Amino acid sequence: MKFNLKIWRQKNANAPGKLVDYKIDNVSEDMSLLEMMDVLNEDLVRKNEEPVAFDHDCREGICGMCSMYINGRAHGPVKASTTCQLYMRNFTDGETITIEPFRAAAFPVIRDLAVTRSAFDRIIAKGGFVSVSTGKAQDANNLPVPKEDADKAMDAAACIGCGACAAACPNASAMLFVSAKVAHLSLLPQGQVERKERALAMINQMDEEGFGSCTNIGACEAECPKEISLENIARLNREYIYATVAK
Amino acid sequence: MATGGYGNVFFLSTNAMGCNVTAAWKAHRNGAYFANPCYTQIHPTCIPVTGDYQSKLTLMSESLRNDGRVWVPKAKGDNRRPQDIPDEERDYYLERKYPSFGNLAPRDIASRAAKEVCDEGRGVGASGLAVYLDFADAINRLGKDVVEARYGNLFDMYKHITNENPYEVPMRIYPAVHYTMGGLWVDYNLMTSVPGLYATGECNFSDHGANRLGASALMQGLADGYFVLPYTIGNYLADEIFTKAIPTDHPAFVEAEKKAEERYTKLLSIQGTRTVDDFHKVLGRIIWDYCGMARTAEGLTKARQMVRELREEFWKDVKVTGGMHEFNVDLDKANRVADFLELGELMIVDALNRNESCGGHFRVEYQDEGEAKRDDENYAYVAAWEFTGLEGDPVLHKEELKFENIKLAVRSYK
Ligand code: SF4
Ligand code: FES
Repeated sequence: MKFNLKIWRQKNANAPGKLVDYKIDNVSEDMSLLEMMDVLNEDLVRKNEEPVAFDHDCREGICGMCSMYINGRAHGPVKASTTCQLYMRNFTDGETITIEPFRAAAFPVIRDLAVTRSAFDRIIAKGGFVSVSTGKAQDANNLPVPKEDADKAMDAAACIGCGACAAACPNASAMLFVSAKVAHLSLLPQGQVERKERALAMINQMDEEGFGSCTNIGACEAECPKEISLENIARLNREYIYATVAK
Repeated sequence: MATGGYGNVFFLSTNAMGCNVTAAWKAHRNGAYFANPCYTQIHPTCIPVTGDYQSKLTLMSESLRNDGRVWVPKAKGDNRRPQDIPDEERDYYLERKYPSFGNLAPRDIASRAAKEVCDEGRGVGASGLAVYLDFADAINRLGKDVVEARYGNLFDMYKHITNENPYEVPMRIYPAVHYTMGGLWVDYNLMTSVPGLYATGECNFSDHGANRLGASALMQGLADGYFVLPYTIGNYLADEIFTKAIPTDHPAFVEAEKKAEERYTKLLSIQGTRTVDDFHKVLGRIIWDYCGMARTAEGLTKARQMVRELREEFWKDVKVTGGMHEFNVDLDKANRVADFLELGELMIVDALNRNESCGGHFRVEYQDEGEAKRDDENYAYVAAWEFTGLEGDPVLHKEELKFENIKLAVRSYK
């Protein structure tokens, strides 16, 4: 297969960036999109040009590092899939593929397609954890968890913190991410210790990072590679009210 | 340190791309012993390589072997479609060789058996480096719904990656590097041979020995991080409680910074002709071929020389673009590969030293008709290596393995 690529190049956070055209051929349809980027980069290095910086790590959809905006969509055209899980057979031979970084004020570009999502880490640090005292393990049957809660918590826990929700949202809101984390923990007995503070602390941090507010557009849910449901946002709102009242 | 394993020395593995040995290797170069580096786990159920652009391998969960049957054609070079090969012309080799464990034979055994049949020319798929994992019987017996409920997400993932539907055609799998049992030597408190430096999780050598069993890496994460370290590191820290924060103009900092700067300057100044990945792939191939699923003294001796030459070549001919004081992915990679080029040699040295077969370390010379043959009399020890420079040989320290409550025995899966 052959492709025309338009790739965002930007030397560093303060430099202006632009789309640069590249041509690539001899692409196998079994290649992943990131493997095509590897091949392009090898060619660039051989030609003494600097390779395109992009985020990636696990390359199997579980770490949340990959982050490209492909043909105008976070994580590209395939539903419920991360950038690293795209294969070239998902594109049409000869097609022009435009690749840009995730864009949100809270995700500054480091270089080319690599962005920093430390804002998410700081949100997690405010409440995305549980306190457990070590010691003798509890008997598992002491804390029954209804199947329905366990399933919902598990679905929410599937969030990999990639940031596509914020990048896809016209308001750059991170509500889907925050709601997934809050829902996951508040549904389980282990999450009750910090429950009162969690929603408040995480939402405050989210605002401080400069993420926008949620106006129920739903672009986040549509682009989320892990199919995190908008229901979680409703739960987050309930948790927020609960926390405000309980305080 | 909790910096993970070194499986990416092979270039292709199931590890994330960023996994590397740099932190552990720097500790090793500065006095921490590196134990059992040759113990690496090659996992039997991964999606096979499709081309030389391949960047990583994906693990298909082991649970698939509960219901899937592993087979290859009986005849060499039989390239009919799997559904056209009748049952009596298939070799369900795990069931044949290990009737009591069948498709659930342990990882090292299942991996080696797959390599064996592929080496005989009976592998399947375009590359010939794959075996079938077939669910047709399970679907007949249990119905598609049950199979879907059990493995639906894995089947979807497989289809997504390979574009083949495992409900209709058997999966193709091949072994791939998955976990490294070796790592920094630690004592029972998880302290390395450098006082005050603790190592936990995959970056240390403890817990697994020569073989890792299902879920035991998770177990180690919990055991080290939850049950051991919180109770042991305090003993060390208690004596340090009055030590003030060490300023970054301390001579050790200055020295470390100078060394790092020299190394980056050197890497950037070579401006050779070969890319970093090029070296990494060649290194991975050497380690895979000679220090992978089957090892011989002859091959290892040759491989050690090859790695040394490759390392020399790297420092003469690598091409790294960009500058030092910027976000430079190329320089970052070069820095990692330079460490892998040193570690690779130590793995080989360790594999050469261990004249026996055990777990993930299979020396062809030491076997009983294909089964690993241990030598408990001479090798019941942990090999902890001390770095002495790259020229000569590292120094071997032996930690005897004493078994007080169980008797050492030979396992049989036949
Ligand atoms: S909610 Fe979805 S899109 Fe947002 S960070 Fe989590 S996985 Fe990514
Ligand atoms: S690289 Fe880990 S999710 Fe894509």
